[in-house]
Amino acid sequence: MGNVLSTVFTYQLVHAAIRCSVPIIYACLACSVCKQANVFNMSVEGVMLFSCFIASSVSYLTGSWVLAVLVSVLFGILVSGLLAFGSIKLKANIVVLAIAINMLATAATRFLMPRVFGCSGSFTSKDMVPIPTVTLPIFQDNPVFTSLFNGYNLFELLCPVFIFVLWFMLYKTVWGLRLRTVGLNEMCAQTAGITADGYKVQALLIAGALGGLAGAHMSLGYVTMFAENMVQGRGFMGMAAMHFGAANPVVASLACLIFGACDALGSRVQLVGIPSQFVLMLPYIITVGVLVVAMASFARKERRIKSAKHYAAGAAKAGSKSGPSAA
Amino acid sequence: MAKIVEMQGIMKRFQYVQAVDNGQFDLNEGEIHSLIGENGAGKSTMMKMLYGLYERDAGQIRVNGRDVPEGYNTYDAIDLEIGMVHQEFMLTKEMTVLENIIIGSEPRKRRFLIDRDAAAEKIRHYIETYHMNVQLDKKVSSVSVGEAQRVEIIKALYRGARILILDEPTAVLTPQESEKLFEILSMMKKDGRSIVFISHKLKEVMQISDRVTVMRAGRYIGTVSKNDASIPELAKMMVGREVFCDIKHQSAITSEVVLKVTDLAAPSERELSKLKGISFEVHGGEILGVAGVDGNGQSELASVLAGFTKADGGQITICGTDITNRRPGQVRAAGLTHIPEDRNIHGLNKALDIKYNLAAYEIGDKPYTTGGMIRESAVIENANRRIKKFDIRPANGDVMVASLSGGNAQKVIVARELDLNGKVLLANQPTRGVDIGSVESIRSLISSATDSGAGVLLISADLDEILSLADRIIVLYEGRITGEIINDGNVDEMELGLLMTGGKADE
Repeated sequence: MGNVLSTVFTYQLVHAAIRCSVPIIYACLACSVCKQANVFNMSVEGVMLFSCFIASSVSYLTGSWVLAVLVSVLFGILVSGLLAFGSIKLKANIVVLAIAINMLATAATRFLMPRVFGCSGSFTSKDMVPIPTVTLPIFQDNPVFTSLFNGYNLFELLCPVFIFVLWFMLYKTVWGLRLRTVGLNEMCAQTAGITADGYKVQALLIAGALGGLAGAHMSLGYVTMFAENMVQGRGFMGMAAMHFGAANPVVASLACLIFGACDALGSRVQLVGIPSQFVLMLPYIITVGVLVVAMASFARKERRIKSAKHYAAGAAKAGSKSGPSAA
Repeated sequence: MAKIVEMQGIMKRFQYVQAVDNGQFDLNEGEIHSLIGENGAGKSTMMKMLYGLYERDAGQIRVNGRDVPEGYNTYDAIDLEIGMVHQEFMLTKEMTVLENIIIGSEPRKRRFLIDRDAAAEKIRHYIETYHMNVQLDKKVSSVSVGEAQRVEIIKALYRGARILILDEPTAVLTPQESEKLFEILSMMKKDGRSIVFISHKLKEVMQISDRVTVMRAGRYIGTVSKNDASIPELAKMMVGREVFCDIKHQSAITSEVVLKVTDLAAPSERELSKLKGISFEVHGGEILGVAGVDGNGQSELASVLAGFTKADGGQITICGTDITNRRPGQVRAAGLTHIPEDRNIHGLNKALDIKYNLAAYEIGDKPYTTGGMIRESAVIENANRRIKKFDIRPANGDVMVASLSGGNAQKVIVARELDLNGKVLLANQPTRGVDIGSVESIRSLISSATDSGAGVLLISADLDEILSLADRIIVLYEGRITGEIINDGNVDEMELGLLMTGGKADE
């Protein structure tokens, strides 16, 4: 048993957990910015899958990862823009639109795969140029340090920057104050002369860009391949983490780390001979478990804030004092 | 004096009603001009068009001598130095007072950041000029209603408003707070600002306005100078006939205690609204009025009594039956009938017509349902009887309740609840948002509910309503009872006002 634990829980787990978290974090940031503007954006999953496909094919066909990332970000913005146009301008139901985008992403990528890559299922090639990995020479001599601090690719290293920038924009800038006001009380924003719809569209477009980045990172950074339905619910996990962190990018990203750790743990437990079916469902079970615990504790806290029990207990004693001080 | 606002031939139609029909209004520089009329007369709609919240269907609006164009919105209105304090405050309660004031015209530093110091300084200027005390760093959810209103006024001034529209500002204030508001308004008038004061309280209107414009059913009735007007005359213009709102309740109080509340504590989102251990009794045939400024625990009291939320302590009994923390159905079975605060949420099913709403409580019982099937004939028969008895218009059970006026929609609820002949009637803000004609009849219906020996708990923010109906009055302040007054016909309103702000009756 001790042997099993020491095989699973090593310093290498930290590295794996961070790597597994990053795609979820980008998805989570996309969901957070929408939630802050009170836009229910369920389409991140689909946007990510589209971008996975576009990034891998652009990289495969042109040999440029920069171009691949750029094109998939632009495509993410385009898809989100369609969602914004449909839901805000044409007033269609945003949930239905998002489901349509998600289903279209699965079907369209499966349909296009043989036409671009000449195969189905999964595809990888030497011509597919990945996002570069950064290696710092000072850590190279020590295996522990090298595992902890080296071997991350560009967007894994930039992830904390994105988290901070989004947090700063939301909570410190005029733009953020307005966006959050739109999200919390749209009428209030409107009477203050703020065009609420404009901010909602902006939130959706930013989410599209982040979703595009998440997808490109998955197929050219996290792995270097494209596989059917390779996003596997990471967009929805990001949404769950967003709720967990009340749409605050910093807190929500911490929640993503928990999900990422479960994911990493899953693939390592496999090494010690636990059945793979069980292992594969582990991250999802833990995700559900964490969410249930988190929501229960939120609910308990809420009840405590609302409660008047201490007044009930003190009522008999404080009876003579019930009239407060004079006006 | 120069006219800074002129509105002429204004038309506005909503789905079911012509809200404004050939409306007219003008405002002089440096005057307080009251716009009065019953609920639904079109006052707020007129002013929301001036503030650019609604687009007009037809008509002309001139501000500072210039026509405002089609597609005019709030952004343009703020540019024209117009500010509006809405009846429902337009504040984000999760944010601080300061953030709420500056939203939309934030002072910036380094282009993108909020300059909080500059904002605070600018706000302090208004706080000092008009003696309006507000706490800038508090969240709006934790300040009182009066303070929230001052935040709204500062918010308008902060945007440079020279024309200030106040929509029913005193509806949520105590008499003392209203006095203070009037002082602030007079100071603003001296500074050359122009104020539109929307109200239906004629006493206040006579106290502070220079001119008064009356609207009725969306139409312009007339404009009079205060010096040429009197309260009865204005009332007649408003309603179109003489009004007698002085229903005096005739009481035959029995010794039986129908509702007994002991040390009741109840939860709330806001600290101020939590019930902190209150006790009272209602006797058969008695109307007990619960007075107080909105948000001091009235909604929480009603909600716990009706079984919607659970009490955190204490006991409630109806005719000796303990109903504490019972489900709404069990509470009703024990004899409670309920006219809820918000008829659209708890009172009516807006997707259904009058006849089903009238039978809503008994619909599962015989004769309305037999063998699991609804018998529509019984529903129709019941509806026709209640429509006639309670004079609901239109007298047609097939009309959807969504298309009824506020007064008639409320009457549907009153008819359903009173006809059950319960032991306790819980009437929560029964005439809110109801036209004067219906106010009269709803009040007399509530008064007559005691004839059969039922007790009534009347919760109302309208002091006139409490004073005309209640036998006894208790005052709620921050979730506690601050005083009890026997309504012998000469209750001092100022004394009640003091209790409503937490003061003692004998000070």
